[in-house]
Amino acid sequence: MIIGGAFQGKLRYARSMYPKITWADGKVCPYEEIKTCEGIFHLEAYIRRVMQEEEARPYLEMLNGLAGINPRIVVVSDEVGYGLVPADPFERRYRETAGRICTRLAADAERVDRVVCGIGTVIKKEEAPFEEMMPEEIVLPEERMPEEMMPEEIVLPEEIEKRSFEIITEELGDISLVPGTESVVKRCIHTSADFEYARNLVFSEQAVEKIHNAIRDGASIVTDTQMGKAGINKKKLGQYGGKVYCFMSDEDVAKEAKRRGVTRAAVSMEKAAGLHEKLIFAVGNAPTALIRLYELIREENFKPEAVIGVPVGFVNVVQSKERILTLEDIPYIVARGRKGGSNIAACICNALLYTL
Amino acid sequence: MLYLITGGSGSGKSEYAEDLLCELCRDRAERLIYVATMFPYGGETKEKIRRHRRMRRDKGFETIECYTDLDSITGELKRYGTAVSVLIECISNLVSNELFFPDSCRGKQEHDQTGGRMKVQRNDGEEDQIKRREDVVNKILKGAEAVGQTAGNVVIVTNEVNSEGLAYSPVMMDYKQAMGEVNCRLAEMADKVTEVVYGIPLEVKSRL
Repeated sequence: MIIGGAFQGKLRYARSMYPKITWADGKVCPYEEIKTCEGIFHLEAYIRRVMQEEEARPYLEMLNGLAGINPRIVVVSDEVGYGLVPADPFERRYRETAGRICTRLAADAERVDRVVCGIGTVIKKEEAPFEEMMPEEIVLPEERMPEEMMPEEIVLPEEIEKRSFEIITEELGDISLVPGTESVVKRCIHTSADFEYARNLVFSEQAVEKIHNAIRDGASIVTDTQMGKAGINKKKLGQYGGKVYCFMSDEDVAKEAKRRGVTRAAVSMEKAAGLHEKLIFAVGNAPTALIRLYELIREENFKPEAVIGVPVGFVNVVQSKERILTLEDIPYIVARGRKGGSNIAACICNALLYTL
Repeated sequence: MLYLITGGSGSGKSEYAEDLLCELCRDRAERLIYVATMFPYGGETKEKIRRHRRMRRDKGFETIECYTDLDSITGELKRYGTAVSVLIECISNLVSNELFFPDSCRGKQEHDQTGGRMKVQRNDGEEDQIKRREDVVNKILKGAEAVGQTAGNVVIVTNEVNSEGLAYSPVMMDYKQAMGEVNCRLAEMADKVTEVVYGIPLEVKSRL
């Protein structure tokens, strides 16, 4: 549940938190849609509507039990209870009713976020039981002991990576990965111990094959952090003639960014585009880099060999990645949602290099 | 200990306040006194009062009605000895009663239906208005302090009436200002201030 005053950026916040769900608009949606929709915004308007129309009355009563009817629903509502008690009797009743319903929904909600000036604060969060915190499809074998109780395995240094991948494969179980993408997905999990990468990585058609070809043709890689650059296996890339560039610390980039009031990440993308080389972009940090890259592709006909878009974070991160997903001619690998990072960007590059 | 609970209309603050006081007094043989400040003007307020009575029924509260002059209840409280805890609900009614009740119907005695605020004519000048507001604020603070000295735990419920941008008549703006001032000063006095948002308590201040 997401609440807050009107015009505080609640819906934007909600959309970035739950990027994959579809939303009903409480101002106009059919009454019964609330029983099945994944998310609803303007619940306060929905409440007003069902209070005003006689035939909608059953929906008003239903709202208190909404958690039972549509348990996964995400509800976005204005807070309407502050200020003087309205003189108009209907308004008075509406304000009170909306408050009571939201109080009930908040009691049933697993999580409540309150948004002020676009900034969300979690004001309630129920600790999910262990099983629920795992990605849905992954079920631990029942006979497995909790890890902290298991005796430590004795593994030779060179065996550790191999053993890690075995564990990953084992725990992935029946999850089917797109053929050709397995090495990338597993290496992301290997780097982060986060199985969500089995679900959030999106590959454009034949992305792996196309990036392999680009590397073979001597393409270089551009990163948006020195950390990303440091993590990429430059020796391996060098065998095919490619280099790794990161322009973030360049003085001309810093100056230009300051002059125009944009980020260095955005300017460093422009500088890379000006190289006129075959380039693969690996963005693990700055959504502004990804957004500028998108603009260069769409508006200035820039044609990189591929975009690896995996910035991590909370502000504009989700949106920047969604833009890359709309590209048609450029191969991409994108980690949907908030997760990612420079280490993930580097590890995807390495996974691609190691499977050549 | 003095606890101040604020929040919007329909936010669940009353229920939270009642539960808080019950929790505080759970293991002690204390009398729980509910100080009701809402004057029953008509059907709607009566229904609200009934709703609150229902909520309190099983929680073991005894009710004292007090529409103005909060300090006047201390005598009654003293009769219960020191083992008494008090819930005052709510400051927004107390402030409006103090500002708008005609002088003829003060105190905690029963009022007839004509004693309502709607009849009040306010023709005094700005200075009188400021003076009156200051008097009311001071009076309520003194009352709360007196109750605090008489009772063990005191939970005071108030209302956030100022977080909106509607323009009101000067009389209502005067009321809003009085509420703001009372809330600030009660919060200063309180050991703990909590804002209740749809049943979820958010800590604003705590010196516990």
